[in-house]
Amino acid sequence: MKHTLCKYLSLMLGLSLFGCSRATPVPRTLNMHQNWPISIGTEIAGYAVSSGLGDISLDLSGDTIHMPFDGTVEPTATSCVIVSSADVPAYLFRLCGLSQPKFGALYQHQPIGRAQHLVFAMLRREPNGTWAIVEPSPTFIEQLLTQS
Amino acid sequence: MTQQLYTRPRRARKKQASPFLKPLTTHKGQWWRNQYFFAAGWGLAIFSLFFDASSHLQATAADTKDSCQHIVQSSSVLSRAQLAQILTVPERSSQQSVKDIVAEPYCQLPNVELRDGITAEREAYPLAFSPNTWLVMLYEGDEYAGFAFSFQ
Repeated sequence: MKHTLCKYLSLMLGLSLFGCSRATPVPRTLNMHQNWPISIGTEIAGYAVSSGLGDISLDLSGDTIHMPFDGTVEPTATSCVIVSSADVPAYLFRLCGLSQPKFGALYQHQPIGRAQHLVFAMLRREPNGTWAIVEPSPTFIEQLLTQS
Repeated sequence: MTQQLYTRPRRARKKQASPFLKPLTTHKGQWWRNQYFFAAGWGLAIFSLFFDASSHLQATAADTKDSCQHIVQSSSVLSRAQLAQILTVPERSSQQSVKDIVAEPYCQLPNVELRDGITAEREAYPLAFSPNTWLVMLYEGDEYAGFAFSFQ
């Protein structure tokens, strides 16, 4: 009885670990076109920089951010997320400040997560494969913040 | 099956008309060895697996064909040679250098305004040798900005 008990307990534990392991995808690293020394994640006097040159900050007070298109959400090494979409070539969207974001494939308008302060950057692909921060249109940012 | 696995050894030893589930009082002070507890555990595990699976089945990019705003040339497909040639066009080239390779796309997707004041046009081509894969091209004005593959 004890052996079967142990077997089943370890099976259950194995299953739950398998479930958890998929919830943390590999962080995506990007080669940036603009190499500013003070970028997100840089530490100054023990404090981490939470937004850099070219980022747009919005005070959302915990409101939800939605997918602008059908696409994929990936983490970065500096606890931001990268939103990409096969329907929108040449662009990536970097969102920082989200609490418990959803990763993986999501549909347009689906919630990605909530944020007190959203730090947003729009990245455009350069011919050499680096990503340049560009100025987003207000209508696009609106798409992130409204459900339709 | 799980029930069988649990009840079989017990039945063999005691030869009793064992009920489907043993009452809570079977093992006094050892509630965790009770079969109700295991049944509930398995139920919870199976339920959570379904819940977990559903979150992974959510989205695999909706049909590019469905997001077409208007069909330009319904017979347009990309051959391997055309695809290879299109991928050699560097970003920031003129739209014409893509159109020189394939004159007309299958369809146009709705325009989007990503960068402030600049309208992005998108065109989609299905691949002749992989009809469920689409090449999406993005143009800004006369400039070709980039491509992506959409898998369905």
